Amino acid sequence: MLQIQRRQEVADVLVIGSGAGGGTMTHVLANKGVNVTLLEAGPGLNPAKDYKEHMWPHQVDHRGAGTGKNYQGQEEFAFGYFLAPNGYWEIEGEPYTTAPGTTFRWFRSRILGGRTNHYGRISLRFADYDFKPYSTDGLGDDWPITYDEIAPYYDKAESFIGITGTKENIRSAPDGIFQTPPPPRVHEHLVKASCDRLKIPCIPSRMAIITKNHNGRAACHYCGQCGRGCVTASNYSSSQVQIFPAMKTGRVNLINNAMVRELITDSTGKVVAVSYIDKLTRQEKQIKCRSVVLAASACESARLLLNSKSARHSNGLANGSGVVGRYLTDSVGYGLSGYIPALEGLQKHDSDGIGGMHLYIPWWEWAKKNKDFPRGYHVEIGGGFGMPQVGSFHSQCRRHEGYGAALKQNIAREYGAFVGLAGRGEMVPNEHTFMEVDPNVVDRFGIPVPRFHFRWSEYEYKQVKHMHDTFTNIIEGMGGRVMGLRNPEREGSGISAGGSIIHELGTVRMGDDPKKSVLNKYCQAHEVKNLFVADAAPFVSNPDKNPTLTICALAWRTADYLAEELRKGNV
Amino acid sequence: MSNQPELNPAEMTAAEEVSRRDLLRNVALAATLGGLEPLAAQHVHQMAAADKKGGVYTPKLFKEVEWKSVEAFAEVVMPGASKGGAKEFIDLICSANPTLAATWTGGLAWMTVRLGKPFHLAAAAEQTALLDQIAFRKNNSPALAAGINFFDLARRMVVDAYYTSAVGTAELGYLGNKGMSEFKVPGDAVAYAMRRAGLA
Repeated sequence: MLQIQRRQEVADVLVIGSGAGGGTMTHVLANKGVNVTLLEAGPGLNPAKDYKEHMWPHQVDHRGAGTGKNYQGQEEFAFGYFLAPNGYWEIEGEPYTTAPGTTFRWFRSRILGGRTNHYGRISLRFADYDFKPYSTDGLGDDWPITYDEIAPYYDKAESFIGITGTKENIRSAPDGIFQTPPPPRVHEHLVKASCDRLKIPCIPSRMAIITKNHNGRAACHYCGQCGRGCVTASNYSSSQVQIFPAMKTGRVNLINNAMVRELITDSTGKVVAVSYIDKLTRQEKQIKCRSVVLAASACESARLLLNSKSARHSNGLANGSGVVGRYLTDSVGYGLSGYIPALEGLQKHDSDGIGGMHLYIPWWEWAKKNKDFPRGYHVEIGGGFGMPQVGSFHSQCRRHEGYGAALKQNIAREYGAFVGLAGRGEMVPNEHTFMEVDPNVVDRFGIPVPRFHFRWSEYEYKQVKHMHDTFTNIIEGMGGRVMGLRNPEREGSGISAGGSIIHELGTVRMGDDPKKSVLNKYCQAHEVKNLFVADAAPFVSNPDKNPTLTICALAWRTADYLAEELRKGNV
Repeated sequence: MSNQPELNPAEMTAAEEVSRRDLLRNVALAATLGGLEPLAAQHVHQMAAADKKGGVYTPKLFKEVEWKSVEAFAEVVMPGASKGGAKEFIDLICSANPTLAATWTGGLAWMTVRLGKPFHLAAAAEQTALLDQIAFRKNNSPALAAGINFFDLARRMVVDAYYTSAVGTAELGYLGNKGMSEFKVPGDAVAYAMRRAGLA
């Protein structure tokens, strides 16, 4: 007989997931005096012990190669050994399925802080027109909120987190509250000069990295290893910046290794409890709550609603509209690398800087008529004298061959002479792209798994062609050579595979019309008043700006609303 | 921070190991409570660099003759690779991966047959004469294909081992993985690149 441990306490707010959305909810609510119970599906985190910041490859015998699977093209670590405890594309015992003909990759980060431990820290506000895609070009739907409504929350999130940047007055890249950015690296000077000639803007990047001490966190020390996690908390991770400080209020009850199975409703349709499995003991548990916030990542949150079926909710919870799981999108990704002879012989210097680019290219053709694709993209810039890693010079081995002194000379000459350009563009939701629950497959906890359907449309293929031509022009404008022959339209090597940019979102979208959306403008379920969503699932579109800052801003706004509704006794 | 004296990791003592743990604990606290001095951040880098396991490596895969051959082979592929720990790296990775292990043991045996003796016992001229053949795809032929395929993988692993070693990283001129209180870019370097790119 199944024995379920029912915890006696009743959580005021039960937050599921501890990434950007769950971290922000926890921080804001705890500081407003609300008691929060935070469930995380993965283990806890000790940054001082778990982060591999500053480690050299030679400090581990395998140099970061793990067990050698990487040499055969298998991925033992999603982003290499040294990156923070981050997550996986494939988890033993936790499969997902794809419809025939579909390629989709689903990244899961099961650890306190979720993806914020490793993410790129790129922090871009959506533009005013991003909230009105249908009004702008007749595709998709408008958001139920405007830029002006979310702007105060961008202010709050940026002020609290700390973002680098400069005032630029560019419509596609609204200015925010910025800390001083670091100066451009050498290759970034070249990219900017090339862009200047092409009349393409290239501006200081907006990164969740602090360049002065802020809220008890130390200023960046410019080791360039944000992706490994930062022991001085000089970048944003929800664990260090929001959850650990919030726990000091005494109002946060953190439960790690809690894999949520379903939301349980009463006869009035409200969520009254959440059932989860304690992964360490495989004990089934239930915890009561007055309200619940899903912040488990877009596809986990949608999966949870679809799996929370009852007599009242045969279609899944809050899903009378049938749109839970629909409108799935990921960013359009395409990259091109250039070899820049002008950088040969450059004097060696420490170019680590902040983690990631110091300059980026915001979208510049938002006002252009008669493009052959809708929407746009931004461009991320890579380059510099990177720390040598396993795999750093495989390209030289392949292209130059040989051995000994000759191979060394080729490697030395090319070291630091590459520039990488990566486009991140907007995908328009389409009817062929969605997720559902696979009726035939459960994971090791017995929870039905998602099944993905994903298809790029002509819009995205044409956008990637535009990226390819633009990047080629920028590289050649520096006197560089485009490396490798690529077919932009080939999935995987050209246009990214769906899900692989890890900006999947839209599966529990907000809107004014309960027939076409799951959530209202406060990310509160139309049909379940004490159910909220605070990850990227509520997004109505997937603009060419990384989602994290908007997740934080939207979650902050939802937290304010929820705290007020709790105070009034409405929830 | 460049005027701070470099700490030599090899000279660290057990007492300093204790202080390292304290330091990391302090860093964790500082991260959430009160900020961290730039000097302390720099210290963390250097102390972390000292956190390397010592001891003599015992090969897990390669037999005695193979072990000597791998060492000599790696040294010819990348001079300095032996000091850079190439054979230990290759042995460790291959010991956990049967496909890679077979490629290496097979490749070493193939070379032994070609040379008429294990690689490390061949004269330098014999070694390079063989590598001059198998280090280039253009030489591909039925007689050399096995050697060329082996070398393609072996070269990558030796290169990885060499440039991720302290000696290889230093030779390449990577100067990062340090704490800095301010990020600066040498003006000369910018001018040099801009001029050469025709963008000045």
